[in-house]
Amino acid sequence: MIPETLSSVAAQSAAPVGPAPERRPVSARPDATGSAAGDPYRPQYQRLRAAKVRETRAKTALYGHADEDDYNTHIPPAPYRWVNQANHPDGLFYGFDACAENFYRFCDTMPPYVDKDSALAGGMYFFLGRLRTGRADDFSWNPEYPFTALLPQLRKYCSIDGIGAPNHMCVDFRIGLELGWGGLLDKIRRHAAADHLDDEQRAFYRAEELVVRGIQQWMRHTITEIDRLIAAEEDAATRANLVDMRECNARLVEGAPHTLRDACQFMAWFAIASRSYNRDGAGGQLDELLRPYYESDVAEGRVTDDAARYFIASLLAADTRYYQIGGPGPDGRDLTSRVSFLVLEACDALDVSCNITIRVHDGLDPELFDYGVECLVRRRNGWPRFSGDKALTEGFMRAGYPAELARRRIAVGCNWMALPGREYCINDCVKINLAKCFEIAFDEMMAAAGPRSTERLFELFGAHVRDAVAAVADGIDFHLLHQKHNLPEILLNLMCHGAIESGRDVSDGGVEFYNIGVDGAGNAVVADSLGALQERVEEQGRLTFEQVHAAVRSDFAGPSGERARLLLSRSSRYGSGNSAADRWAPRVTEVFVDAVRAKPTPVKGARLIPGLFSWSLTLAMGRDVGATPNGRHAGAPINHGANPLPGFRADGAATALSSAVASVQCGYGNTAPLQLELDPSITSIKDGAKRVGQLIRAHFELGGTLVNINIVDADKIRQAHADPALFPDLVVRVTGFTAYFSSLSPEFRQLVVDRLLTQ
Amino acid sequence: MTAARTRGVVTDVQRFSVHDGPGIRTTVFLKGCNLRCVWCHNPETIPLGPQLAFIAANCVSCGDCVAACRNGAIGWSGPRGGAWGGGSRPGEDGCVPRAGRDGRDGRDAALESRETPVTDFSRCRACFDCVDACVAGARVVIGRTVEPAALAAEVLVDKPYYGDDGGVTFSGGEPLLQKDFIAAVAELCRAEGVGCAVETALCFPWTAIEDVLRRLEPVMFDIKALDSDLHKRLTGRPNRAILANARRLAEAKRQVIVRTPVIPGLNDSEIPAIAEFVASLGNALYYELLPYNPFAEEKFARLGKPFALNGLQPPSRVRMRALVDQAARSGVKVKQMED
Repeated sequence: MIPETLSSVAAQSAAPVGPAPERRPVSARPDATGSAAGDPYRPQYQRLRAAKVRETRAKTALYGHADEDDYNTHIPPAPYRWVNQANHPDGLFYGFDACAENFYRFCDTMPPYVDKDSALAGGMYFFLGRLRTGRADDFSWNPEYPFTALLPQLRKYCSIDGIGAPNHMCVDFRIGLELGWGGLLDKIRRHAAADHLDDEQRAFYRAEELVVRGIQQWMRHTITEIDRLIAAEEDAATRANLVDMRECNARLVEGAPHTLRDACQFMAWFAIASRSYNRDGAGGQLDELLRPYYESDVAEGRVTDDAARYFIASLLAADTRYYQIGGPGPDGRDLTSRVSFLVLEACDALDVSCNITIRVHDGLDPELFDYGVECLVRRRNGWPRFSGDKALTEGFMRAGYPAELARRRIAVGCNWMALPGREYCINDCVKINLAKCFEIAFDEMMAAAGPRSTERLFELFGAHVRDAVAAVADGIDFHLLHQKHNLPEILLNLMCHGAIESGRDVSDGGVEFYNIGVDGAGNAVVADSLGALQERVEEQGRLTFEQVHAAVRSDFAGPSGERARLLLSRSSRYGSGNSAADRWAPRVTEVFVDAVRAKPTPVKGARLIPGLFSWSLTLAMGRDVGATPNGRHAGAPINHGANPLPGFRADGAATALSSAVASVQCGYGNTAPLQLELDPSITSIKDGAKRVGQLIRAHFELGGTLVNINIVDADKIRQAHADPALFPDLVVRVTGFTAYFSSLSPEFRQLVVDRLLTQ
Repeated sequence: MTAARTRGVVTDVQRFSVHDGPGIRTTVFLKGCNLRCVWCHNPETIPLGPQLAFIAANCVSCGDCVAACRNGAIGWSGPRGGAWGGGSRPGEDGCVPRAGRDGRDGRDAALESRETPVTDFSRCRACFDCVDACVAGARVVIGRTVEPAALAAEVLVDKPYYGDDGGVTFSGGEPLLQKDFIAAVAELCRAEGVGCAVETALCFPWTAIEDVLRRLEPVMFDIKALDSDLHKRLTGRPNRAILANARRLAEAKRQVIVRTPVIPGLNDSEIPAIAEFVASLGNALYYELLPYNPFAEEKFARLGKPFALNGLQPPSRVRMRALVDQAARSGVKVKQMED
């Protein structure tokens, strides 16, 4: 069993608990053109942004559309050919040794990337996981560990099982920042020299050493490239930046970071390397990670706020990692510092897609909150987003953890939270298709001779949800048993508490907590379907269960089917307010939560934590589900996240949406995010930003966990959908992530458009 | 006052309203109006009672409404029939329509048939049997009767969002036609710490509205023209009572917001004079110009009524800017909606 004792919580506490961080007056903030007046780095920001827009356009032309985060990857300078050093007849590589050897070779052969406009060196071209499989889908699995016995149940419910899912947890950057690459190597070698290691542990240490050496090698190649650029550079300021960049990188090949620039550069290298390995994208509490370096630099007179902002912006430009700022520290005191503002100012100056979350709690510095809302409203690029501390902390405490630990569980992913360096959770990777469970339950009720009612249907639905959860629990156990033989977390292990110390992969007992996220998807389809049946069949008698079932089985074919569809689809919806569907929705959550929380996984004893989130799988999961009694056609998308379906209410009121999503929270520390689309007219009224802020705070007061907001002009989004080239810099928050609208596939753009224009 | 007498007729409840007074608000649109503005963009709020509307875009020409109507108010635009055979009611004949017999979809067949139900609104007795029969949402009732407590519960759902300056706004129509009802709702809201505002034309004797206005803040009222004769031509009523009431509110130092819908060629020349009047009151938080809303045409069509201003375009941005500048010369703070 995986140990889950809490006794070591205080001992492993990594966050500094001391005097409240110092706040300093906010410097001139960037203006609408992207930079503060007088900021000497204004040209760099403008060029970084222009390059990003240009490169996004070029990548779309070269690689086609991508329904995911942009990741800030670059187009390689020359054709790059990768050949797997396979250790399996299928041509792929698996396990510690092979993954590390291939990763080392990947680092060693990667063309160096240096942007003279950035303070930091390094950049990504490829994901090794995708080069390895040759597919966009890098969730591969070692065929030596088949799970055919699990497939029937997993397929029956069309669940997303998470077997083979990489990353989706969060490292603690402080481990690396304290040790540097050289220190990490020493740590690995020291533990590798211990007696009584088994073969697997020895393989683990060989792999970890090779990983660090690979990154160092990548850095050395990059330093050589910087030297070449310095030699060719004629502009004095650019040359000076390159010289500083070189010195910083030369120090960091072995040494630990000492300055803010060092810290940003170190984090950038880990972000690039870890993202390249398996698309890891979790960051951490960025303001707190960087604060010691900033304060030390300021005390020593080494950095101005302009320079600090530029270093942070360069880090954000290197990788679209998810970071949190603000929020409570372990003792509940607000973590907002000058660095929190610098992070937002850096985003503001760059004005590209950013994944920054502000954690909202009672003690949050109102100025940080207001500035965040102002950025959201003024930039209209979907950032920052906001997480609700109250529900998240209380929820994680309900899951059995102390408040101090719950406050450390921060927003570091698309929709999810994690304890940096201490929790393995593969959040966002395991999903129960609630709409499919409902479809099966409806068929079962109609096939039986027994009573037919919404209560009976709900009972059957609950039974199938429990079966579906049981199936993914078996899958999670299987993943935890064998992921190390598939694609071990050789990068994340470096910066987790316990992995290097124990010689165990984080998927295999290398960290303290195993809280696997299990998300429900399609809750609105189920609630609306139950509501429609209650209204049209049970209360009004306008249709019979038999008529509805015949209609959905035929996908509403023919006039009678269409008549039934029209009646059903006009039933009141989840989100409309005090409707039958509104009353069903919390019950749907409850039955799902009970199923997920019922017991840990049977073999490994991992705890399961429920959330509601579809990610961008609304299309794919919808394709698996036949027509449903809410008037939804077979194969049509399910609802996004915990949101009601488009058209849920004539006025599409944001408050109605917010209240609905708040009412279906799962309550154990994972999220049911609110995805809100606001018309830009909100920005034209007096105190428009204040109103958006009120909306966010009220949602959290009602129990909400996470808010993503788009402020998009309907005409602009329509035009961009028709011709994406018209607005190459239009950024939207697609689900948990932001992306350039032009880079999305037409099908996915349509989904975003439907959501934006009908809410 | 008995509960029955304080029941109200509500057209719509719009949550997260940010254009009908300060802060985040819920706007309650009430039925009934004592003016007949030629540009009216809420014609569905003019009659006091519930009424039928027909949304042609939703109609699938099934014919259920034709069969349901007992007053002969609904017929066919073409030869009797309809895509689904007309006259069929759910469950009566298995809903097998004419179109279904050759396997085609009802909508397609309806389009091919080019037959649509047409409504003679003069014969409608507001029984709403056709609404009950309609599966497509093409026939709807405008206006629902509601108790004060029920409406209060509905608007208080958004109390967490109102903050310190938001709340409820009664709009219309002319909400003060249902003054007892809104007084009752406002009282229930006040008990919950939620304030209520009103959008009114103030076209009443002062004594008729004095009491209810004490419960409402701010008072947002329209001055559609300063010249009383013009006002009468445009709205059917002179404006003497309106201006007198405005002065009384000023004397009472009540918070008011004054608005003028800018209708090109009809009242835009009045703006400077209205602004001078507003400035003379001295109690306006601001004076707001609302550009003409051209979307009323469709609303009139749904109610089977002619619209006098078909084709009239809203004032240009340049024109609105110029009017704002003219009004500002009076010294009053001027806003333009969407500014």
